[in-house]
Amino acid sequence: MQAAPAHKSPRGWLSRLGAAALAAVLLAAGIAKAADPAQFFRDIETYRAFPTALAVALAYFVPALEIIAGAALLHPRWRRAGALLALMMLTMFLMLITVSWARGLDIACGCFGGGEAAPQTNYPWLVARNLGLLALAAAVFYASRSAAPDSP
Amino acid sequence: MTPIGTPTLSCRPLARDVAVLVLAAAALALLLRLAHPAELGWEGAPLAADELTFAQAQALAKSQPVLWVDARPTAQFAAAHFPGAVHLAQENWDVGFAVLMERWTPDCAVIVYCDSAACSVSREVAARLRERGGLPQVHTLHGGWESMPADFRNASRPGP
Repeated sequence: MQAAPAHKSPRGWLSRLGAAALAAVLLAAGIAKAADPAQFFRDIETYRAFPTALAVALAYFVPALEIIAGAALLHPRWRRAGALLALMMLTMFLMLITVSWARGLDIACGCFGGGEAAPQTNYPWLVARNLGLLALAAAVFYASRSAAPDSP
Repeated sequence: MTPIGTPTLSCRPLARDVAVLVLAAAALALLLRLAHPAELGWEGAPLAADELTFAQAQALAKSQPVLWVDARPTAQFAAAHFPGAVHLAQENWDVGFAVLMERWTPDCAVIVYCDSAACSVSREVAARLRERGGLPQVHTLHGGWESMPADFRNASRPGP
């Protein structure tokens, strides 16, 4: 007797739901940053972690990566790769936020484009939010593993 | 057909897929760069609409009254600040705002500064002054306290 196809199992539904939620966050964040790269550049500067040229490159590349990862999560063929990319990005963001916290910097998160800055950086909230998204990305990655078609 | 329960781990296709996505992102980034040529170049972002350099601020002060606002933490303000600056940070907002409004006149330009180009609190204070305070002319100092000439900053320290 054959088991139900993976994409119709409860795990398949959860995987798609989780992927859709994560995709929504990444697409919203990426599009907001892409709309105003100068503002995102200024937000990156508050981390005091990159030379100017690298900060400029990141101001264009990070939103692009978020948009591409978000779009990939919406398609079964690319979902697993999109989830892994999201995991890698969120891990980098978390490291950056944690290092800034340790350095006592007052950062503008820049997570959703300009205007999201807190008067004094609410690090516990930033870390908690990031960890939540990391957990979601990990869950989608794990769940999409079983649903992935055998690749040549 | 793969037996049920056999893990379908396939690292190389996954790595290839991730590489494809990263390349696609690089191409999209290039498109974004082409779409925003004037707003962000390799030398960094030009001044925002409400930003002034220190030289521009000094020039402005020759044509109209200027009220300086120091948005740094209290300890930094106490150590040294622009002569006559009002201390207005989130930690003392109500008191500082009252002091500011006592000295503000409708023809005043307000210039807010924080520590350096890497701090964002001056932008936040400026936005709050515009939106909640209704002040019509509020600028931020590009580069902050650190952009002021060194001898000027040293001379601004309180005497013994």
